Amino acid sequence: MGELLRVTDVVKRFPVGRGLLLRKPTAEVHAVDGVSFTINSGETFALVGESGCGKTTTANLVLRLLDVDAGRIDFAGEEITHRRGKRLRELRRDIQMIFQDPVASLNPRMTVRDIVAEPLVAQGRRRGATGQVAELLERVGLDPDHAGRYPHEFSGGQRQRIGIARALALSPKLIVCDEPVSALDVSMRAQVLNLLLDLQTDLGLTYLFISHDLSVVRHVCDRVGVMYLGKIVEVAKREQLFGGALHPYTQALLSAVPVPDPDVEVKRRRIVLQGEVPSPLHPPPACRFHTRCWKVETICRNETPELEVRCGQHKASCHFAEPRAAVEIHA
Amino acid sequence: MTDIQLIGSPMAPEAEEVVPALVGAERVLQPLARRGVFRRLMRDWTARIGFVLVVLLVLAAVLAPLLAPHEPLALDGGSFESPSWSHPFGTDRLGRDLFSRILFGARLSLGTAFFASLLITFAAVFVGSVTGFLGGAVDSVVMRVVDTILAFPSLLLAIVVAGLFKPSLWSLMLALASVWWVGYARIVRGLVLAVRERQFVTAARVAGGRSSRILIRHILPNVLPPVIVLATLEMGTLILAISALSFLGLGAQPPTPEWGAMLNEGKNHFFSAPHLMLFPGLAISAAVLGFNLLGDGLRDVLDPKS
Repeated sequence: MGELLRVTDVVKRFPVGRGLLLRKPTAEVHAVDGVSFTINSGETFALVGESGCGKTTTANLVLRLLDVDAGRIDFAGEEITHRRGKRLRELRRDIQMIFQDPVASLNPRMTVRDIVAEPLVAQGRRRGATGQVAELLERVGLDPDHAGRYPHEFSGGQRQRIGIARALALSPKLIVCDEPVSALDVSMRAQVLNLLLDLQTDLGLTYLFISHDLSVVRHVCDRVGVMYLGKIVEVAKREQLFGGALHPYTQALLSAVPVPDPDVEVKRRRIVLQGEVPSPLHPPPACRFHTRCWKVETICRNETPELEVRCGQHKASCHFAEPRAAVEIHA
Repeated sequence: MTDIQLIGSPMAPEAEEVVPALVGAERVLQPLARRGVFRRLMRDWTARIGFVLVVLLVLAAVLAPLLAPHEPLALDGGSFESPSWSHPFGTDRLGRDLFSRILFGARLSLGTAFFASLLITFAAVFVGSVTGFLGGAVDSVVMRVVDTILAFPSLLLAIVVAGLFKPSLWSLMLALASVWWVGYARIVRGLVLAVRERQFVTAARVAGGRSSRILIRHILPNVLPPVIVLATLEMGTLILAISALSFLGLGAQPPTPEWGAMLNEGKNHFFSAPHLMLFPGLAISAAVLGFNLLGDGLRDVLDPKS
């Protein structure tokens, strides 16, 4: 279980509001601002956070669909930050992706066979592709006899399986799953998640799992990174995070998850954050969460808290990181 | 595998339930043959009329030598004869049979318009897709050139270009194509820009596909249906433009039986022999109407948004 992916201080900014004549950006969205994390072989690492927190941008940086503005990315011991052309296409064999939207991510004019064979053909492995496609379809629980059909002839869950088969075609080491079940019916989520888990066990896959749904994350992930406004505020093992989150933002997120037990649910005390997420165009200085935090002190406005190890592998970036007292949760 | 629809799952509604338009668009983008486009086209009576008109004209063009009662260039009747059984549309100043000339004229008018249309579509799809896909400096420069050409009235510009060459149907066709492609190119570019951002294109990049492969396999097939509609709709305009330029003496030269040129020949005898302008005019109208109706019908069938 060595380290497979290391992301170090990556930064991505998007220019907005270009001037009319001079192509000079008037402002920048700080989409990802110094994010670091590692993923070990065979584990599932989740990035969670609200929309716009930069988790999908981070995924796109790892996939090298976007270029980083700063920082570096290492994959399997090699730096891949600036790979281009042929070397980048070779890298694609090892890093694949499962998309959020099973309708948009499948070309409506291609048959399932062509869609699943796409990575093989693109990588020059056309020979034997048909047989491989049949195997892949079977693997994800689809009937290989349906390979000649078009995506619209399948249900949402089946379409997502097609996308998974495509991601598996090149036998990648890392699969980036960008909200793989959030577009699916609740009844199908568990099926698809369990399929992902089975595939991980069988094929030794590593997942970077992007999600905003904590209950999904709790179901599938080994370690979790919580993002807020382009930064990771807390990284912990699943049990640590769900058992005793240290960062106030994580605590607020967790308090918003409904509990199935009605007795607990009644006693549950939610932390309701005030205000909106500040604009990533002008993120707050120092601790980015200070505008909405109930623990805020002067230091939060002046000094940026580092993402420091608190206990074990549990890291949090907060000047006042401490577990939320059990009394507070169930009082 | 059972995909049961649960009621009340606001987090993840099944696509079909919430955005029928989206699913419609997706289905429509299936290969035309599989989607029964023809059958749906025939459901619309205006499209049916357009289709019949176009088929009749194409048949007339193809079968002209069999259908024509006389040689189009043969002087085998009296001058300015009115329509009769032997000369259904009458004869012109030189005693040539007008009906035969119109049948053969269909070959020239439709053929020229068709090849011009092909030329225009190829040029536009090439330029539009390359600029739209690559973007950047290439895009900016080419699109400024396109804008400049678009700034002139296209028929006027075509007259200027055609005037540079010796008048003939070929030079006319090239002149029209050289002016007409720009509007198409802009449309194709816009379509490519839209398709380029769709997620399956990202998926193809993740798969490691080369840009050329992504363009040909993923973007073009999704751009072509609207381009086909556009080309059909514009066939009418092109036929009209060809006739107009021939009428002005810039295209087909006498004695070529081209509809516009025939109108030109007939205009001096309009009061004494109105059939000389009436029948070529009707032929042009029928062709324009046919292609417009067919194109409209195709657009409705291929594009659920309109």
